[in-house]
Amino acid sequence: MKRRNFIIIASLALVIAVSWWFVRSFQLLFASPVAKPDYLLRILDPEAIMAIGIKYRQQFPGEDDKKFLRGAINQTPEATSDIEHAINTKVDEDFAKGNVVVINGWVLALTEARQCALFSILA
Amino acid sequence: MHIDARSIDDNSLVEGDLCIVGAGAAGLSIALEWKGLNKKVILLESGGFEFDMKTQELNAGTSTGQHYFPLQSSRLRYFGGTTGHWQGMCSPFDEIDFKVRSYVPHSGWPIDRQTLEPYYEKANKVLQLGPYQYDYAYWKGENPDFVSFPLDRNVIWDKMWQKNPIRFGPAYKDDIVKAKNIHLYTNATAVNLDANESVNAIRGIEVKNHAGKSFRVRAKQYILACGAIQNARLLLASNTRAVGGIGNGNDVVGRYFMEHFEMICSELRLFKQFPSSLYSRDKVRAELALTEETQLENQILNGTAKLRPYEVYKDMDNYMEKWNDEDPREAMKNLKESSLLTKLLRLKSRIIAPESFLLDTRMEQAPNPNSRVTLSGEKDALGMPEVNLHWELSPIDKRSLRKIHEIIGTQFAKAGLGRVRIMDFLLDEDDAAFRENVNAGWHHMGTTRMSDDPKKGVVDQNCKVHGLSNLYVAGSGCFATSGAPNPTLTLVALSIRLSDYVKDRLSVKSV
Repeated sequence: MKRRNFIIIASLALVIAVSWWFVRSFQLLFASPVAKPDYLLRILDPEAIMAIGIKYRQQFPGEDDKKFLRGAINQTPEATSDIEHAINTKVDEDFAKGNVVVINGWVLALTEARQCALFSILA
Repeated sequence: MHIDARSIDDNSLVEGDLCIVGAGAAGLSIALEWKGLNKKVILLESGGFEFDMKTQELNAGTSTGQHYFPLQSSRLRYFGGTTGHWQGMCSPFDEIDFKVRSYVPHSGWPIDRQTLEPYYEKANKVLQLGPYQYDYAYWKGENPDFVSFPLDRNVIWDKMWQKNPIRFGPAYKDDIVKAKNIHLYTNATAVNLDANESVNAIRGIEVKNHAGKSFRVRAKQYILACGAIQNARLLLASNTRAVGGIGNGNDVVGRYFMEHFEMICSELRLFKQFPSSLYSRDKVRAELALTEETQLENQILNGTAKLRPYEVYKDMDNYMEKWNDEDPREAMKNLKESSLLTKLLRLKSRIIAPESFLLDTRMEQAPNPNSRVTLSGEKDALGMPEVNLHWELSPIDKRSLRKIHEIIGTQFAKAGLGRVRIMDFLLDEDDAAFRENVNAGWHHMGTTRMSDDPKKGVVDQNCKVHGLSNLYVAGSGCFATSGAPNPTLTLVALSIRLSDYVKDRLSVKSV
């Protein structure tokens, strides 16, 4: 294969891979509200959320588990229509109660940090 | 009356009732209080009415410890002092700044905020600020667009500031020169305090200049007003009769040098724009401050955060790196250089409310006895020993910076306004060290701190040097703690209070 063709194909492959990752990330976010930190999505992109999630799992290795995180974020069945609202309320309560963690410098509610962690596993 | 000391007879004697050393913010605030009184005031100024590099070089010194601005350019040595290039940001200290806090070693003043209140009002006039009002409610009444963030007022409040970069030189030259009882000597550098044999009073000051002239000033009372570093230097260098220097029997002179941290410590991202000019107006504006209860509960120092539009300040260089020239004119030029893009972004941020800000902290430094000014082995052109500044910070400084932003972050989130990201250098809770270039406010404080106990302070609550009957220190060198706000309003208030005290001592009557 000529060098030029190789570069073109490799570049295309990279673009496709990155695009796929973004699409997949957004799909995940919209598919699973438990892994969708609603407030943070207003100010951060999926990449930053992923980075927070990875860091959280490093800081709290005992919570590096899909099942645990799902349970900790939300006790109501996922089918509940206003699950997003319920989680946001929990985030607000975290701040009110002082359940706050600092991850990658972000001052976050424990629940939303866990959402980032779950997102980073699912993605 | 003005006398250029280069033209007076060598070895002459100048006599008066009160001698003030230094014509900066502190010295001039005092001198103005004596205008027209039946006492002769001798006001000594090391420089002239204009900047002169040869005189400026008398400020030269070395520094060790935490990296600091070049000493030569961090203060101006001519009539009007450092008001010649200051920014003019003023706000009074808070009540907590004067109190003993168990978690802040060496905290507590022998006076409280209430004691300074009447003098703050006078200082506000000297600094030609607006009305003496630092209450948000007042300014909201004046400016309906001063909308405050809906935060928990038990935790965060809006501390109001006023700005007027008044240059004391041009503003007060005529007042001083035309006053018959005030004898201003320019090009007159005090090089030695001559104490009596018992070292319990000053009997004269030796003065020199670059023209090779020396003369002596004899007065009944003496006030040192040359800035925290130079006041300490003059006391330490006056060691002919007193080993270790005048007023230094307990080895406190020069210690507890303090600065203000002025550092971008976090980023605030709002969920949506918050149109308000409260945090961005030029002449009057607010900074986010933590309540006394919050500080005590979290055992942190007092500090505020000002909002800087992210787009404008994201690439802003550190002041400490930019202010690296021994010539203050060059240093200022380096600092003020900003691109057209920066200017346009600044303009844009005033028209369209930004959604992202950098939170620029202004915080006190905890008193630290090892943070100190000492004499170095070098001598200046007039034969006076130069100084070394060893600037040393404490673990509580860094912990407080981090905690302040954690609290602000929690409060913004709690109010549903946005999220805060603390900067990387503050993230490691176990790391008390600071990076090389910590940004500071060019504020020199401590070195002749106030305490009723001579073992803990150089001056008493009236700013009189312990053990000396007629020697006083004016200015921010007397601060026991540095408070969150910039020092000038408080140092002028304290100087006017000192002036009243000395008037009583000299039984002053108006003419």
